[in-house]
Amino acid sequence: MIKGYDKYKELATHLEGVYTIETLCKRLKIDKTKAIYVIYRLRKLGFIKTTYGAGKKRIYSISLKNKQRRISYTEIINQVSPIQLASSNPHYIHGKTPSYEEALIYALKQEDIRYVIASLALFKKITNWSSLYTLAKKEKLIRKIIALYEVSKRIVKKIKKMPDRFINQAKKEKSKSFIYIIKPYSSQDFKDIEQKYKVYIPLNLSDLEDYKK
Amino acid sequence: MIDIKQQEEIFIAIGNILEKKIVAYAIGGTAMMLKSIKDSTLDVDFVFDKENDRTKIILALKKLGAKESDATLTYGLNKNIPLMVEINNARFDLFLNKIVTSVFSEKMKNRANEIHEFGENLIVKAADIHDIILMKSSTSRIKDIDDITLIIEKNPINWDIIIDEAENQVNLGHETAIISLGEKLEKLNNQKRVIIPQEVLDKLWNILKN
Repeated sequence: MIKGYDKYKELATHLEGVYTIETLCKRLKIDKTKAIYVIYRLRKLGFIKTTYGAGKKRIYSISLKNKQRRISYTEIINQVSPIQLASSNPHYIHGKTPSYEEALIYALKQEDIRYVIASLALFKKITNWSSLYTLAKKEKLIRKIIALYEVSKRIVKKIKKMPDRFINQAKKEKSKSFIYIIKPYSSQDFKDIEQKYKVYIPLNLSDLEDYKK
Repeated sequence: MIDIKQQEEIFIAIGNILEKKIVAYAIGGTAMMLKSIKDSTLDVDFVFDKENDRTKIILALKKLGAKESDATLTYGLNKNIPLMVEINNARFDLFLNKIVTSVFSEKMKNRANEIHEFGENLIVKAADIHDIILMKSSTSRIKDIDDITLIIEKNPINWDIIIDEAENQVNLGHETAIISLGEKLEKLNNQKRVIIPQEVLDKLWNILKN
């Protein structure tokens, strides 16, 4: 059995990835008791993060990255989105967990179709509308957010009601010309929302199949 | 020596002291730690765009108990040496755009697209692995050779980026960039520590000949 920090660090580097207890047993060719001990030691040294899969099955993410108290916006979005995103240029926050409101703004700023699809799920987690309003105003995203909120209401279950303040603000800006969320994409299926807020929506119903599962 | 957790704690503390958002580029071992390629380093290396930002980081570090130290003791009388401060056995080397014999070019800044936010106001952009290799090849420290090996072993390398940046460094006045890079890579290849494609080595020497 490997002893000492350096050897466990080496093991964590070697094992980097996601495991269940069974797959770890297979990978290391050890029995369940020894695998539990390895997980115990790796966790104590900060190399393991545990999440739960179907049937509350424990899933162990082993990585040197876990030693830091950090989370990326993409990880926050993935917690609620039916599609899982992978980012080639991650944005990590250390020492605090960003809010869903901040994650939504981040998702829109990526100007990436997969982020836009994933962002629809974030609306069901929004509780601090005032914070979202302030952030959206700062980034000039109010109209885009309200348009996506309308799409989200049609696709995602249990969406909370958006306060009138947001809607009124978007109406004030209504007279301005059309804007794109992602240039040059527009929608065939959400034309009414596009007309209402003068925002081109880069989504059709077929893009949102994952929300039906 | 500073480990990954200590580094994170100090950065968060700095971020909470700063009154406005400041961007610093992490290079060397610091960038490698942020990218989880290694978990400790001798010193924290930051590069700044603006002198004012560097001053604010020094003031924040001083509030945390850091003391300034003499960079010439470490770097000699070379040009472009950093301002140095020390805190709890951790040394901060704070450069301004140029790193001794390298220039932290605009291309390098654009490639530094992994962002880390610490506390309220410290934003650290980790240098790209290709640029870390290039910068580490311009020194003669053994640990830098070990780090180059570690990066190549752990990451897919796009050699065109490295060759392009080496040429860029020559154009920016760092004439020895290609020689240092070619020499280090050839050495690693000969020692069979990592496999460098022969065409990469050939390309580097051809650039040098022309």
